[in-house]
Amino acid sequence: MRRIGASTIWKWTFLLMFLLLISTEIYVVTSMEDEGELSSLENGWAGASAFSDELSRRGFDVRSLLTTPSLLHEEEDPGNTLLISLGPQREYSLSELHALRKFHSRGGRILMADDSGNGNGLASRFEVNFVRGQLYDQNFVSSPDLVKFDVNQDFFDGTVLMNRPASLSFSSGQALIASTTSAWVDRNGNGINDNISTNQGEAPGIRYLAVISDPDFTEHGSGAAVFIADPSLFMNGMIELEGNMEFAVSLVEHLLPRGGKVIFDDSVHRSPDASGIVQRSLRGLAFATTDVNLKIVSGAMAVLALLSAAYLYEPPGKPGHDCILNRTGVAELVEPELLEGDLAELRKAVLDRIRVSYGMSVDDFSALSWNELEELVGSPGIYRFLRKGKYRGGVEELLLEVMAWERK
Amino acid sequence: MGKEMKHFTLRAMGYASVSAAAFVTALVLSSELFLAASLMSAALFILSLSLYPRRCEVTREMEKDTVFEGEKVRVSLNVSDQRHLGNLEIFDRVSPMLELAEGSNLASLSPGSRGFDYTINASIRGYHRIGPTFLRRWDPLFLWFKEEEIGNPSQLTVFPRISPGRAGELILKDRKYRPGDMRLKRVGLGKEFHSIRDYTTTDPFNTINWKATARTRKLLVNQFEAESVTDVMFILDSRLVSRVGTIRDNPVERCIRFCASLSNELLNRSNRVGLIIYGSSVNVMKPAAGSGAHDQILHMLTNSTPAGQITLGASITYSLPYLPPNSPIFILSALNEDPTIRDAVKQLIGRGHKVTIVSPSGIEFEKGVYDNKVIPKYVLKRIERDNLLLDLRAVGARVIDWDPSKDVIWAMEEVWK
Repeated sequence: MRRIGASTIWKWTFLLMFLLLISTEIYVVTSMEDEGELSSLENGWAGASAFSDELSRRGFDVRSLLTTPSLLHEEEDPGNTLLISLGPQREYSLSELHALRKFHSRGGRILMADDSGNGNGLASRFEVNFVRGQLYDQNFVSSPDLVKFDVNQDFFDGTVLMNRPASLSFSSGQALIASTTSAWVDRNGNGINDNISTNQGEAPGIRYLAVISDPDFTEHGSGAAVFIADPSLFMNGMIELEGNMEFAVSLVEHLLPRGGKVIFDDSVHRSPDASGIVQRSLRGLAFATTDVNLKIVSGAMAVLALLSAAYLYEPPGKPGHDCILNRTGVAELVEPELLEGDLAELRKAVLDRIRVSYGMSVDDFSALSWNELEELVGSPGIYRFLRKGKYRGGVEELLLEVMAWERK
Repeated sequence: MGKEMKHFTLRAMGYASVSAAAFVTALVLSSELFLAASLMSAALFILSLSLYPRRCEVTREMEKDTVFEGEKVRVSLNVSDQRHLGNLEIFDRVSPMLELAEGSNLASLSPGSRGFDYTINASIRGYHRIGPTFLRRWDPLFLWFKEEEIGNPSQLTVFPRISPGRAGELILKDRKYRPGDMRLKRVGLGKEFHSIRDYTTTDPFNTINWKATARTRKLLVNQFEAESVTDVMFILDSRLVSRVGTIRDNPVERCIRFCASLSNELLNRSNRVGLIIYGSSVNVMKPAAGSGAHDQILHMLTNSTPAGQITLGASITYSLPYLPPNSPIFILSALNEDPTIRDAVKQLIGRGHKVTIVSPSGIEFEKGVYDNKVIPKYVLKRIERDNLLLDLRAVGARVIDWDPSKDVIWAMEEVWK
């Protein structure tokens, strides 16, 4: 079978890897829908730069993660690190969720605020769920969309203002913010509490707007995850209202009592300007190299390429001098043993030997009778072989007898 | 300049893989260390590739281009580009019929090296080719190489070994009294000393042996061998079946060495020598004398390649017109696999030639291949060979059965007996 050249394999490998990278880029770029709301890098009304700046002023080491939370694997001091994910505009991939969970188990702190449901992938791993549908409560300000909630915790005691919040359900952990008993969730989005007529779960009752998964994390030194049902609380346009900024900062200080690093996960946002293209490209590259599945695919392809190249690789031959002077050749002794056909040749050779020994011509020798030949031969064994072609014992014995034969 | 081939090495793949792996790791871990390692690997890779040695010329110098078997020849290879930064791997192709005595024909020249030497042992006669030179140019880190064949091959002519002969007698039927030297083992006017005898009044004074006279106190004179010249023909069997045993030592090579040695002796004594070589064809050299004939015989013997299956009978039939009447003929053959030998020898003897057969025993050489074990087939062939030799002797040929353990000098002495 014709072997494929190494260069062909390399070309195809690089082409496939290039296509993989391109398709990853396309996937990442197109998976973003909205502009960069709640990005720590966004200074507009919907951005979260004010919160980020305030944390910096308070002495936190504030970073922005542009590529992927998978990089949290390399975080060296997760016990003093807080990842803030505000209003994720895409769902986290499996590898990212794995990295976040790992980060938490290593003592990392997580703060996620969401009202779209994109955060449920992470929240469900902490037995928390973002409930879809806007929450309405009696303590609204100027519009039912803007609702005030009282917060009575050790780290903060005051009021926060939320804009069209969602709600949370949870089976473990502890609520940090709860509604009044008259709050209800508009599950079907029609703006009307129609629980009585349709029984769609819009019955009034206490709803939860913030939950902490590990309330005793400071004592155990374990990780902690806080989920808040409204990311708009952290928006530049909202953070200065009511006690939002104090609540947010206090919550961060509560989660990082010894200070530390705060990482805003901006990989879930889409930058609107030109830098966003670079960001997305880098994210695609990082995604290609950090995503578990892609890692496996890339690694397997690399291994395949190396194995193929190693298979195709022929080490340069070490030239050497090949002297053939001691090569052997045979002509008459190609077959060392006597075969059936050789016996006739042997009989002729023996007759020749007798003839030559007696100095007879071929004609004279041919004219001899069997009795005369027997007299000339003298040896009964040789004579029997000459006359009947038979011999006693092995052919070796016959040969020895012939070799030893001499004329009388 | 031969076709140039480019290749990469496993080491190059290793560098590229390490560089790529370090780069990916750098991305994954955001590690400057791995990035630096990646860049270093890539830089080394590229730097090394950029320092390829340039194309260069390799010249070969041979100490001698014509030698006799057993002599050694020193070969020197010189590289024209002595400032190369890469590595050069040079392999000077040497005929497989030549042995390396000292050094190696393969050398790896480090940057700046000028060349190398090696010595060849010319073990067997022939026109042997040395070269062309195989050149492999490497970058300094041995990542990538290019191969090419350069230079022209040289020829080393190796004549068959000539063994010194001993003065002796060829019994000649047809003497020709010309100046020359085919000694007749009888007293005559030659140059070679034969014996001492008492002085007679007809002896010239310059033949008196004064030392012997003084010792014995009576006049003694030297006697010299009579000399004659004649035409001697050699018929050499160069069939493929005669090359049994090893390539280095087999009946054909023995016959060739014998022919070279004996013809040299005969030509030195002003005889005329002719040569017939049969195998794949029949090559005839008419009897000639002098150094020209000697050279011609040596070249014919050197050029002879065992091949073909022309029989002795066919070759004699073809070359009968070239055989001087009544001249002594030496048949040099293993006498194997040829049913025409008996009749051919009879024919020669019938025409008045004195036939001497010098026959290195082929089956003895073949037995050596089987570690000299006596095998049944050997016994059969030995019986047949003995019968043949007896037959040939019976028709009047002189047969010298040459055992492989005996050398050429022994065979020549047998001839002179």
